[in-house]
Amino acid sequence: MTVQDQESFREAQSKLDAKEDLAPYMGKWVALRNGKVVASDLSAKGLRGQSEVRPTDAIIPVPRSRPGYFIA
Amino acid sequence: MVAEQSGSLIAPYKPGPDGQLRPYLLLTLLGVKPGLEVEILGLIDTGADRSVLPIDFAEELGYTVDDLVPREVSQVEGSASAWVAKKPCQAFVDGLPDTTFEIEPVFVAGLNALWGRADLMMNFKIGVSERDRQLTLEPN
Repeated sequence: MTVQDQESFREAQSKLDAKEDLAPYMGKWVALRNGKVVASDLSAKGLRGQSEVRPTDAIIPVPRSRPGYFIA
Repeated sequence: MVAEQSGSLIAPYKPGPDGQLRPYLLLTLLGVKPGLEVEILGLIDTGADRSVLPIDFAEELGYTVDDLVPREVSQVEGSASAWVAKKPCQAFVDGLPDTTFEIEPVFVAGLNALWGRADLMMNFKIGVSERDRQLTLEPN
């Protein structure tokens, strides 16, 4: 990573720290606020259109695949 | 943007989000569903194993949740949550539409687009002239 607003990056990443089990949402997109799921939908666009979802919420996919690791 | 007869391209540096000129390159990505085409300005990054895109582009490129695999990605600031596409999309460089190549993007929240080695740099020899503030791309 060469050029990036580190503060906004850290803030975006910190929003992804889920404080609840996301397994029930596998296969969907979820909106996270303070680590809690506030809404879910099969599409990110549909999720953003839900009234409970705020522009500041983190919108992330919850795939069924297992996590892995590599260097970017 | 100047395309030469040999098929190579000279691309001047472009301004990034902060207005500074850097080696940004405009790519057109063709999504994994018909008709999806997205232009993305990204920074050439020799330190990136693969190209990285903001997670917001995943659905624009036609990826569903189950087309993505969660990963931890290591970068300068530490590790980051990411999602790797299971299948590639096609891409071409602005000005070189005849040279298409595959990208299996890594989607990350909070990062700007980065063009990495396994896709763009596997398909082009890339020269960077800081003095002239320009990139030279030559298809492999």
